[in-house]
Amino acid sequence: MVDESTKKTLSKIPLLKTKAGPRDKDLWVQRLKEEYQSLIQYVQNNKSADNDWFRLESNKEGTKWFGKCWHVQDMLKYEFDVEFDIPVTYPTTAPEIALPELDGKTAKMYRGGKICLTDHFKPLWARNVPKFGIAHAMALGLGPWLAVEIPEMIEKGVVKYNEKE
Amino acid sequence: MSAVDWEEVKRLAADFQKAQLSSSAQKLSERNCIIVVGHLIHEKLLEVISTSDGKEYVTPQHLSREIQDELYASKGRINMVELANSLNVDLTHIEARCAELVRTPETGCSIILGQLIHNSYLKTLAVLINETLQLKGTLNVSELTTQYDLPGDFLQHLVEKELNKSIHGQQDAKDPRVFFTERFVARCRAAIRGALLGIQKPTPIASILAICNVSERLFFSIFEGLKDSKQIAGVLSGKQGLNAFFVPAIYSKGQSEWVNNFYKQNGYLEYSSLTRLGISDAQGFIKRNFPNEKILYLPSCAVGPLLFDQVEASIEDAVSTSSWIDLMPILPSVMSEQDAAQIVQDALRKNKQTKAEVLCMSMVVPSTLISSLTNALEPLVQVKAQEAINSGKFLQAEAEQRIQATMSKKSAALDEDGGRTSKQDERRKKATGGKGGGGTQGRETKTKSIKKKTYGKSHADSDDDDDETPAPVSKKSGLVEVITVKDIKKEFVSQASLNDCPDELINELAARILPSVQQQANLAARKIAETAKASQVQSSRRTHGELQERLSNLLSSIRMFEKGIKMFQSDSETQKGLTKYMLKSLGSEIMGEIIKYVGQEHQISTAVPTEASSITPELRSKILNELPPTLKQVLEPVHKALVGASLDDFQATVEAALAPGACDVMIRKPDKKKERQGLLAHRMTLLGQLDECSDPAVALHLTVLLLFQAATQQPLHASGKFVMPILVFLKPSLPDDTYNTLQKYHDLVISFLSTDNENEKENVGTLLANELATLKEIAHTMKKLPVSDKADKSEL
Repeated sequence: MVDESTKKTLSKIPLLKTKAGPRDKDLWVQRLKEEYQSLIQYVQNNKSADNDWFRLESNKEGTKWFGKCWHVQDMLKYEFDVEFDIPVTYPTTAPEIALPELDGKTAKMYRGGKICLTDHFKPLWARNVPKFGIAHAMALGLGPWLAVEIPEMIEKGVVKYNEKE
Repeated sequence: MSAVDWEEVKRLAADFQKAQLSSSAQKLSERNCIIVVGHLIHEKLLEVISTSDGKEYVTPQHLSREIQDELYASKGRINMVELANSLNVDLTHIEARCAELVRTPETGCSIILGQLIHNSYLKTLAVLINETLQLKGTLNVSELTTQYDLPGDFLQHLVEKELNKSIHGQQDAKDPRVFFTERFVARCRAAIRGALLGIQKPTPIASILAICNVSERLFFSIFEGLKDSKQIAGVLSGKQGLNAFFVPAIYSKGQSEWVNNFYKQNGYLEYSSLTRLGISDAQGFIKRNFPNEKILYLPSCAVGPLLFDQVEASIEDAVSTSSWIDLMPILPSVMSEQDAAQIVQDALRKNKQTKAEVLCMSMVVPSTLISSLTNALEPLVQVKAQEAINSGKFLQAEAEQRIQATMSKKSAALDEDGGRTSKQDERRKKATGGKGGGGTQGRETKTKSIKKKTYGKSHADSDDDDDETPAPVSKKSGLVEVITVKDIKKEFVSQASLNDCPDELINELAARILPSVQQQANLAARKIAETAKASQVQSSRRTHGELQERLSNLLSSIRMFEKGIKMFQSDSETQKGLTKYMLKSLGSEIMGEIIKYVGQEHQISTAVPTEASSITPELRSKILNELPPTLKQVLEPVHKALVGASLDDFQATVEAALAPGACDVMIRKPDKKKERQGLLAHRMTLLGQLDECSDPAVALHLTVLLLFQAATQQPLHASGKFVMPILVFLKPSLPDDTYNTLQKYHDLVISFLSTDNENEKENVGTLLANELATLKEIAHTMKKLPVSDKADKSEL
């Protein structure tokens, strides 16, 4: 099950309408626009709730996404790179979000730093095609994963705080 | 188109970046902020006060400012709870700030009863109070307390402080909580003075106060002042406080004037009229008003010497003229009977007057009058006593009394006292109290006497009106009611000295006199009864003696004749006949005498003939049945023996009957000398009878009897039909010629008696008359015959 706060966050993210993948040319543009609008709203939501936790940008076509995400614990900010591609079958297939830095540091991760999403994610996503977009994937997938896995890894000493300049 | 779209995508991407970067400005969440501020306060780095809803923080300085503003807005007085509400700050902070404010004198604030009050408010309050004071003339701090909802002490302090500054008035010297203005006092004084001057009769203070609208306390102080300055006339009476009465001097003056006048005119004073005048303690008032008068205090009025003297004089007058007097007309009509009774008693006591008595409460009767009345009753007493005796009531009642007195001793007395008189008493007791003649009457009197007993107990000490239920015996005096109150009253009505006498007095007099008269009557009755009894006893003794004499004679003659009868041993037939005859004649006579005596003694109902001989056998048995069983038991055999043929039986039964237990008659022992005298007397009587006799048959009978006596020296009692057998018996001892003469005469008598022929009867009658002289001659001469020896011998 998705926890209460996640659900709440999720409901505040605008739903998408256009069902189009990167191959769909014009429709993809349409879709991309909706994705951006959705992301902007989500980020604004986060900011207003003082819950900003990632930076994202994409390539020109909007098929490749990268940026940073962070987790604050004990007054320390642990920051990780984040990247994922829009699959060809998108939006039917969900994007596979990866944290390459943490590859091999936790069991809840596939080869290449792709995070293992919960059992709930996939059916939920499948039910909501095409309404869910990137913002939903972040909120529903990466957010909860970070919240569970990072403190565990910090505790294990797998992840260490490195001072940024 | 797609170019445009892409442009748009680029723009959106830029926007997205911008959004991510720009709006990542710092934002402190509310929770954090609260924690931060809390931390700061805790660290004493920041001094703020949070509002009660927790939304805002206020600095203490600002709060003080706000409080002062609020105080000003609410005209210098505000409740701290109200402040807490309106400033949205916790009450504790408000209180703390207020305390701070009070501590700094410049603010001019104070806290009273959880209210913050500014000096300006106090000033306005003083002005307000002054206004009310001037308006009402008086004010009480306690009233202010309720009006302004401030503690009394505070207001008291305030008023005292402002007195003569902003509050113009004066403090009550007796009650510091009361303030008033001079004008008010003056107004009250004027009102009270007016009221008190106007009052004509005693008035309760409460009603005066209600009319004048003046407080009780002020009234009394003003009253004292007015009284001291002699502006009013009158006093306060009764209890202190509101229940006191103001009695105007004019009223008390009028009162005492009235009392004085009334007393001077009438010589007495009635308590109830004094009470009507409003004098509660009438006796005390009289005592105070007439300290020098000798006043007699009666239950309902007081009497002066004037009236008392009058009473005394009339009593004396009555005593000297020995006539009764009713004092009620002399006394004022208001006096009750108790009053009259007391005044009369006092008058009598004072003069040591013992020669008069008080009856009916107010009537005086001199004892001389009473004694004269008693004397006047003397004839009535005698008459009544006689009546009581005659009716037997007196004796009955007395006997009953005696029975009751000796109820316990009675049986013992009966046993040990066998004497004659006690026997008689006992018999009488039996007759009156028991089943005798007046059985029902006796019982009735008994029940009556029981009633009387209870009555006497309950009324033992009140000896007036005793005339309710007259009973034969009055227990307490032991007197028999011979005379009743009614009788006395009847007598009194005719008395001249009791003219116009009211019935009550007659009643009382009668009741008063009754005991002594009753005693007299009882004495008289007893006297009469005693004389009657004495005579009765005498006569009964006499009759008893006579009876004894007669019975003795009869018995001795029976004995005498018995001997004669025994001569006929050879002729048993004749002997039997003679015996029967004797029993029938002499025996019956004895029995008759006994019966007559016993009958009289026991007062049986059947009329007993005065002549003993006229008692028939039937009458005898009837009387016997009425006699007491003991007597009947002994007399019954005698009655039976009379019918039998045995002289011995008869004699034995008679003796038993006459024994002390029964008829109690002493019979003399047979005496030779007496016997001879009896013989002689018998002969003489027979001779006497013969001399006077002219009837040939009777003459023959007498002659034969005489001859028998002469022949046998024994008398004989026989009837005419035994003449022949006697002649036959006498034949051997008679000279033949005599016998023949007698025989011849006998035959003639027989033929005379049996013939029916007139001529023949006449002839025989003349013959017999001729022969009568010879017969008498024979009887006289034949004194002793040779046979007598034989007879004596045979007797021996």
